[in-house]
Amino acid sequence: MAAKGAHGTHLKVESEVERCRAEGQWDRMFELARHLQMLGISGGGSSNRRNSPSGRFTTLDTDDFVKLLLAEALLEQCLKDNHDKIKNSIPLLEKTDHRLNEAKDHLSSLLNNGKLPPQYMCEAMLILGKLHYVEGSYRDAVSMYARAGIDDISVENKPLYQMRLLSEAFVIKGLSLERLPNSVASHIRLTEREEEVVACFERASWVAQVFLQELEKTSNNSTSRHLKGSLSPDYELSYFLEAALQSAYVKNLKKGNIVKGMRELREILRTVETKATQNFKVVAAKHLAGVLLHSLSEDCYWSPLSHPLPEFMNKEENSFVTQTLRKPHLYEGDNLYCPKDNIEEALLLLLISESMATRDVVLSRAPEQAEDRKVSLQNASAIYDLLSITLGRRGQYVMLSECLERAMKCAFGEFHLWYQVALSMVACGKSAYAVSLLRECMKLQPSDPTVPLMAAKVCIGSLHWLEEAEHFATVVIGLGEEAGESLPKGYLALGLTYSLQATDATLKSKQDELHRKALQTLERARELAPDDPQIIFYVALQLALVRQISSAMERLQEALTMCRDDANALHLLALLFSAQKYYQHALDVINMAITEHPENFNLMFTKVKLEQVLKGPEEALVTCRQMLRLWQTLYNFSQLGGLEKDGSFEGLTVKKQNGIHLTLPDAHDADSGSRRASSIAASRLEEAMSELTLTTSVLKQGPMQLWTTLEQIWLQAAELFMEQRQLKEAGFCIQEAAGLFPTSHSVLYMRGRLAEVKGSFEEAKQLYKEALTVNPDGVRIMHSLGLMLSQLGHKSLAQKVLRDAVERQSTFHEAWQGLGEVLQDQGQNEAAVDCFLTALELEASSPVLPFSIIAREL
Amino acid sequence: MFTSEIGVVEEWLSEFKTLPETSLPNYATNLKDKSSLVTSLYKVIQEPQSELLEPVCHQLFEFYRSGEEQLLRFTLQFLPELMWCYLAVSASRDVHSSGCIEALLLGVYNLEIVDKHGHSKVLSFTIPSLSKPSVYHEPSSIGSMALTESALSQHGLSKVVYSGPHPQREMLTAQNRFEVLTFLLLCYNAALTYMPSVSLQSLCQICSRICVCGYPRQHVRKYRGVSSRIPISSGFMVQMLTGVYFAIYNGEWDLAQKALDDIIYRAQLELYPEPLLVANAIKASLPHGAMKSSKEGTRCIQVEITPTSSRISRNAVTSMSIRGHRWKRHGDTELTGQEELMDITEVDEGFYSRAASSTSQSGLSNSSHNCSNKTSVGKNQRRSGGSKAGAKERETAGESCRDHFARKQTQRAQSENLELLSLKRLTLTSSQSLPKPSSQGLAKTAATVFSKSFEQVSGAPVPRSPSPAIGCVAGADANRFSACSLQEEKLIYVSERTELAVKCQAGQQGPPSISVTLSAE
Repeated sequence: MAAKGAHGTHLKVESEVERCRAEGQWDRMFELARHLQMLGISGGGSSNRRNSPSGRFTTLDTDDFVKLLLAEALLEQCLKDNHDKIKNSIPLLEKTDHRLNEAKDHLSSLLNNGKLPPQYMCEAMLILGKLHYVEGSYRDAVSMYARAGIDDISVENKPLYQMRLLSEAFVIKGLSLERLPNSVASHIRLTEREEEVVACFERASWVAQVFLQELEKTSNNSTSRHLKGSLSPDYELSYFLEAALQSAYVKNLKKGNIVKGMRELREILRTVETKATQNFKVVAAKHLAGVLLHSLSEDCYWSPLSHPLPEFMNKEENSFVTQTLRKPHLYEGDNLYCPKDNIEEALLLLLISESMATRDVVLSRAPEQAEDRKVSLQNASAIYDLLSITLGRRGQYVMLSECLERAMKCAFGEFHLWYQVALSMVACGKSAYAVSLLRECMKLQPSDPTVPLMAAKVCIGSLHWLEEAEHFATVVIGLGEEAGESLPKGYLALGLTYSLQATDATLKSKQDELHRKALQTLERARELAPDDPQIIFYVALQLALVRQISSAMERLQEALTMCRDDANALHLLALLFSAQKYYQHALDVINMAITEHPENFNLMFTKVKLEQVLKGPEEALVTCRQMLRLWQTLYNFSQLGGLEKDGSFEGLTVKKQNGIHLTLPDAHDADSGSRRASSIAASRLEEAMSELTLTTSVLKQGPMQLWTTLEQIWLQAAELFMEQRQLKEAGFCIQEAAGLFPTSHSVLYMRGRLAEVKGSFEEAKQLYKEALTVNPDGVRIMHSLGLMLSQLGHKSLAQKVLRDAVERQSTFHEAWQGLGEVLQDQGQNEAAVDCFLTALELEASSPVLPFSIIAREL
Repeated sequence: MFTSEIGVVEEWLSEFKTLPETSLPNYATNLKDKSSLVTSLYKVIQEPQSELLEPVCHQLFEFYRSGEEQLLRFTLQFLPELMWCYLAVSASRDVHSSGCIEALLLGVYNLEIVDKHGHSKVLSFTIPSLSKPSVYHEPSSIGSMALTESALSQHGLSKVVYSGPHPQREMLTAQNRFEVLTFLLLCYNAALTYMPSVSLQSLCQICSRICVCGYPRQHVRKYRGVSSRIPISSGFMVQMLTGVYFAIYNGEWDLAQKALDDIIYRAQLELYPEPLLVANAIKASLPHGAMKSSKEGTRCIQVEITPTSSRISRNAVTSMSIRGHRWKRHGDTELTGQEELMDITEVDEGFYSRAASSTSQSGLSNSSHNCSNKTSVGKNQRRSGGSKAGAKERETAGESCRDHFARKQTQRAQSENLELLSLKRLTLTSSQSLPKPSSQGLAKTAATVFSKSFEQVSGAPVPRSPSPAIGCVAGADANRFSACSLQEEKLIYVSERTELAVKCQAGQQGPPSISVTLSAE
């Protein structure tokens, strides 16, 4: 009974030993070894031990077996402590570490004794080989492995830890071969050796993966069976196991053999992951994604499940024979997603590793974790960089911004991450977010002028946050010399902001003040960068806005020598010609501009106006028809291409291009002052309302701008028909526009005009009033309303409305004239004369469409 | 240009014309080895006034149209240089002297936008979704991290984006110029692997030039060909970056590095977010120090065996560990139904009986209890982590609890009565809460119950002020455990709950220092 009990304990200890050797719990080994030794001594008397099938060794060998265990444990502990040295292959010396010495003594004594069964002798040799490698005697290591005959060792039906030993043996053999001095000069021998090295590494990685999967399986089983039992801590890979997993692809990639390296990487990544390989998988995925992105182009891509193109296959040597080895489990199933090109594969890999890597980013700011934090952050941010490269290539900035947003939780104080998130927000049009992020970036890196400039650009452009824009521009200017080449841009931004503020301002004095400041700042920008065409152009535009036509012309010509086919410059030129009443010149210029920019509706609206003035409504209507046709084709293309909402693919900005050329600075208010804050509000209101009303009727896809453009075309046509007294057609056109935006103020205004022409004045007045409610800054509406009121006899009210109009926009000569007429009717002749004179003067410098329809953007 | 070079080009021009159809593939494969021909052709392209330019362009187009893969790539390798010539000429005064290059570019574009059958090409790109299994992963192993709201909303849908069809172009205008060039560069980039290094060098050079011409940096780069600024689109710059990125890793480290810097320079001045974003990412991802090119000259990737085992100490706060906190809110709703309630009863009974038995006697059961405590502490620490300090303190707290516990077992402190009382009340209150299935969930009730009972019992010995904080802590812990129990076996749950209760006892009669550390969390 006692013997059986002892036997039972023995078995238990043995299995425990095996488990610890598999899991690498070396600290426990000493205890177990002692235990075993005691058992060996106490159980020495029992005679039946020798015949026992399970007792793999006799009592006599117990000593040697214990030595083997101790030697291994000592060696492994020593390795753990000297991780860095081994990594840099600095040999460890016996003298410096007594453990090595001890281990070596144990091993050589038991090998000399030769009493252990062959299996254990072999193990001893493998361990000794490792020890030789650690000491730097690579030749000894190789010969030791040759002695052990590792090429023929089978791992089937053997304890698990042997697989670990074998995998390590292969990788060490490979490493040793790599490091052997090239005594043999023969080229053929060298390449042979290279091949052997690669073969060793490949086998090592194979065995290591099977080992780790098996290990996880058994540890899972044991934990579920006895629950309180060994909850093994996350298995930590030893250096040699790590090397076993990685060496194969590292070697191949280093040699520049991308095809083989990629195959290795893919195989590794396709094997079902274990706890121990999770971190490793992140690294491998990152490597593979990198290779896919920077060394493989779309044309020679082959998917993970297929074979490389034939032209790459010649490099492929026969892969090593794998029949004897078990294959690690791969991800399998019927509906597995398999990427179709390298970007898709890279993206998949990066998404996987992102989800794993971000989990491990250290968030706490405790100083003792600074190092951990740094490492984990580097890992994560490397993944985000690759993600940016990947998604940028496909133009998926919306998705990129979502991914990068996830990085924010670990981005504290990291300029690079903040800036990248901010840029992705700008790129995908989330402007308000972008501005707050950029503000944070400015705090982190106050010396970088690009950051506030980018913020200013967003504020001036899509957000129309002029106060913020002013602030950002002043920050750039405040940097002074430090801002370098961005300094003139800073002045440009400030000048544009003032100019836009002037357009928004409702008081004439304020407007004049801002216009003056704008011009001054822009001139300063020009002094700093005399050959920047953009700056010169905006100086010209600013001069035009304050009606200094001839000096504007001068500047513009200067700008045009530098950029001959810029749409805005040509547009301004046409408008300046029209202000000087050279309508034919203007029309020529606009025609030229349109040949260079055939899809720019902004230019075409000007063309329509010019034709209307020069050749009458008939010709202008032809252009309108052309515009409708063009709209149709553009719409069709956007339908075909942009099925997805943000379907700009490949960074090709098809849609954006359309967007640019469809830009009507303020599509709803094309003829009166662009980009007024209130009219922006009005158009937003309309957007919201039309969404409510239009859900059923028209299918509205594509960008908003496309539809507002269409509305404008219809309204323009209506105006022309009215001029031709074709009221029925005009009515149809307005109906078309109203079908798109029933509550738009331009539609209401045009309906008022129609009613006026038809003679129903009360209705017209009502419509004008409605339009004015929607857009309280619409000077054209005020003008028409004023005249209508005057016609209906409400003279003083008319005067009030017209005064408002000229106050809002002091260069609006028609309103001045109307005001003069009203004043005359009221008998205030002197004031009327003043008004008429002003109107006359303004008319002399008035373009067919206001200068402000040209976008002012950074 | 030397006469010999002219001779080479002329020979090339005439040879192809007389070539019979059948020997085309053979001719194509030999062509790329003629390096003197390639350099001569570069020279022809670089000289806009050259008389050979027109026939050369014509023949290059013929190559492209032949459909022979090798010939097509032969033409493609000159694409960067051709683009540069076109842009340089169109930026300078004389407008249409680059007619034949323009025609070649347009021709290539119009061939590329259609497939073999003449239909417009529509390129598609599937955005992989982590919620679907792939050759590289299984959704379950990713864990709940990827199950964000947006991921769930697109669950099972893989998003596909399309590009194209692209319209045929009859001429290059200011408006479509970069649309066409960007598409051409995209085609070039798709064939980067096949491009010889001369072509990559030319790509890097033209990227630099396009970006700096007309800007102050032009003097730094010492380039004197064109002095006017070349307008550029952001999409085109992103495509340039693809090629430059490839060149960096494939033997053109120096030139490509320069080109990258110039692209960043220009993108900053133009305030283009897209190229800036990508270029910053490339710059940050480059290995430090110049890349050594291997003996063969090209294609060498620097990789090292990197330590992968997490060096991060287990008790650091990571997104993973903090996740437990977030779970509680989502977990609340999920914790309904009989099963969980059953759990509680089991837990409470288990706890009660075990606590009762251990307080009554038996050293053996005591030791086993301690053992389970130990594992649960370890588990708790590893799983939930908490803040590092917090976890440590919790551990020490747990240990001290255990000490207390053990001491109590052996020498029966006077506080025994009080302790028993508290235990009873604890179980009582928590079981009272059981019949309320409508309550928001286990976690919250448990929390309130704990804090309530705690307040009741602790009363006098613990100062008034920290008690809500302690309740809070206990609540947070309870929440976390309940979240864990969703994923894990019930037994862990049990042991953790016991541990919690133990902690309560300790807080209740232990020294005030413990309650301070707890509230500090």
